[in-house]
Amino acid sequence: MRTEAQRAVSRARRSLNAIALLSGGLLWLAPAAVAAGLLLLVLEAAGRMPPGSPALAVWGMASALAFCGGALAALRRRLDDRAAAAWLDERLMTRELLSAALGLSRPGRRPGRFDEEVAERAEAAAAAPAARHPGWPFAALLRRALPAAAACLALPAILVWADPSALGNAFRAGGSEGGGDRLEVAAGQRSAARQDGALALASGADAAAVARFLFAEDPAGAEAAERALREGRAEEFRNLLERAVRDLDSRLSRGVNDDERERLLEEKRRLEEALAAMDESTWSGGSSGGSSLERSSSGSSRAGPEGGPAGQVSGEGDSSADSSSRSPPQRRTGKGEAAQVDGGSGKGGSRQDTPGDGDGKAGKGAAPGTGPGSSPGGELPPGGKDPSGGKGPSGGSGPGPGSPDQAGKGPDGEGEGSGSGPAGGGNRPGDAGAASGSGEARDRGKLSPSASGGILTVAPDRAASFFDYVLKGRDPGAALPGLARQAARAAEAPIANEGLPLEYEDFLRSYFLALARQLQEGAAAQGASPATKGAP
Amino acid sequence: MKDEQPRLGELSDALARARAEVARVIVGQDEAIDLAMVALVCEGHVLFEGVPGIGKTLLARSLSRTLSLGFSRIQFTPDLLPADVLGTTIISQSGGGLDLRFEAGPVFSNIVLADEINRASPKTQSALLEAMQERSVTLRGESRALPRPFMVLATQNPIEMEGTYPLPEAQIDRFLFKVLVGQPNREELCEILDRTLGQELPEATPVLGPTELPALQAAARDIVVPEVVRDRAARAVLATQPGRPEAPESVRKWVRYGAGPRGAQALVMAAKARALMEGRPNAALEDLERCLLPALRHRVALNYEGLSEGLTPDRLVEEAWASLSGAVRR
Repeated sequence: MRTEAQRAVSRARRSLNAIALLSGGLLWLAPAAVAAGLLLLVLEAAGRMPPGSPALAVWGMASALAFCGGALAALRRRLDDRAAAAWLDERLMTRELLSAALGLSRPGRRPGRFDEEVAERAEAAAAAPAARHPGWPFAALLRRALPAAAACLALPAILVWADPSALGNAFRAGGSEGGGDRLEVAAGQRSAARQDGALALASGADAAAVARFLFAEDPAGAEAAERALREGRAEEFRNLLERAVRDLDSRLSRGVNDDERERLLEEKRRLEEALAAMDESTWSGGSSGGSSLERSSSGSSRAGPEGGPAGQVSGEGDSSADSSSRSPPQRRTGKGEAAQVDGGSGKGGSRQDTPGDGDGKAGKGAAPGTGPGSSPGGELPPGGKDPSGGKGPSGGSGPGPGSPDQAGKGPDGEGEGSGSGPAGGGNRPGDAGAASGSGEARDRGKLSPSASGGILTVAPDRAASFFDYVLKGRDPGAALPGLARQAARAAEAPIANEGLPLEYEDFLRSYFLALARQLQEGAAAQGASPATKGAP
Repeated sequence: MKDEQPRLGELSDALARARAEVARVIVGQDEAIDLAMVALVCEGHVLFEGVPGIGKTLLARSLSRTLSLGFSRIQFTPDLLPADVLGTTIISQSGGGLDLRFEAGPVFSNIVLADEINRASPKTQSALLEAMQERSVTLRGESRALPRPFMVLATQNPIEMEGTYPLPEAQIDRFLFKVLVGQPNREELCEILDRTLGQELPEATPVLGPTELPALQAAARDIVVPEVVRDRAARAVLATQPGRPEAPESVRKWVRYGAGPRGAQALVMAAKARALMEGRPNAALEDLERCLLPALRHRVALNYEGLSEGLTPDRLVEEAWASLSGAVRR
């Protein structure tokens, strides 16, 4: 039968061991948390962290391991009854009475003259109220808990502040460098993101702004999308986008006036862009960096997966060009400024270089098509109908020599446009083409995905305005060679000032080189056609 | 066993009475009186170190008188011979012839005051070795038991070192305590003047009978010693040994040799006796702490560096003890 003294000693031992366990864990936790955090920060600063690495999770794991290690170490040094009795004697100032009583039951001990005296006194001491509350050493625990708590609060904040991707989620929405809304897909975690639907916001990201941008006409959808973004549910976000697209399709099919139709189309296009960006995350880029992708409704360069030669298509429609596409590689041209530039008279203002289900209505061209370029691989869907069954947006006709791009009248003949292709860029699906054009379809708020350094960024296309440096505000009657030289010089300024993204610098240089080369070729062939007025 | 508790109280009361009686004669020197009482209960020997005239002899005499014990005093001088201490065999005429008869020396007494023990030659000092340890004297091949209880109270003068013979380690280890007796303070000095310059000198009266001290000594051996106290005593002794891992850095640096098993025995036995004096059935760490310096200071020898640094054994013993405090008291 256990005596009161033995119970008191056992109680003290259990409590002290629990405190020692916690204290040991905290003792290791604080330095380990700081060390792991600093190491991760150093790795982050040195760029040694794999993209999308969940630094916070790594830090948490290291800290938890340290805590467990400290607790285990404390467990190995756990107190026995003898030490607990000594501690209790000291706290109760019983002058080792409990220790003596504990020793009475030691095996092999010969009974002594004062054993009973010791036992009685120990029982009395253990029954005292002070023995139940001897004053546990929480102060020591607190001394160790404070640094640990400080480390556990500060390091995660520093880690997330230093690198928002420390949260380790696949998706995040946040401000782009230009301050716009943006979605980022960590390339290294795309497949995982698709599997677990991880979707998250970057630190400082404004999910509400992204949701409002995508669901401008649908407050409920915006709210749901914002929630999905914040909670990292990629699949739900995708479903919202798809459902919104379907809703818009049904509204469009019911017949609306032109303004409403344009607005709905614009909204639909945004949603599809976002969907396409999410789809592209499956094929564009990888952790080692994928192909650079830039899409813009205003016409821009794009390096397709097949990496075809650069070309240029410019056209002018009557501002009614529209298109929709589900396939990621797509391009739309609207009322282009290029026709004014090259003075081409070709008809047909837009084209679609990849299969799509878009429908386009070609505008009426204003200038005769010009263009010395020949496109070896150009192909337009006959009858303006692309293979996917959409209405072909092309159909411009132009007298320009021998370029399918500049075919004066599109097979569908629905509209007139002017198309001039100074360079016969291939229009095979996936061919890279350089299209220029500006007009109503240019939308700076449009999402534009790009892959770089293993990170796919879907962001409003702030950079789409770089063509402003080249063509904006030029005299449509000016000679193209002079205009091109002028534009090339103008483009050097932002390049020199590092005002452009790096990939655009290379593109611009190659663009002007190709332009110059083709202008020279055009100049050589000049004189054969009267339609080359103002053209090389 | 139920009758043990009052007996414990009675024993502690008896000791308290004896102590009060001695303190009635000796002014001040509370620690010296306490330690002398503890040594008496432990049946150990005490080496008092202090300047002359501070009551060492009076303390020994008062103790013996209080406990109704025999008392003898030996003034150690350089020409003192062992036979002067132990006794000798003399030829005496008994009846019609001569007979060899052993004449017991002053060592044959319950309390022996060896005054200025360091003034005698080592040969004479060593005559006390067997008496102190074995409580017997061997002369001419015949071993003679000393009366019990037997206790040697030795004194030595720390300042007049010329012409002295420091006690050998083997002998000094046999003392349970080495007590440093200090000078009285002003109040104590005034009290001494008042007491000693009057017509009547205070004198101790017997408080305990001759059979009571052995009972006290037996009871002290039954005091329960908890493991924590026993372990602390052992570790304290080991911590004074420079080659031990328990020893602090100062001990390793400045101590030539430390306390041995006799030191640990002295420490625990003194703790038991002290607990008995306070009426407790178990020894405590506090008892060890109070007896630490008297029990160990004369068992720790400093090396040359320690001596040249002006260190004292007390400081090193305290450091050794302090180095253990955190280890046991978590």
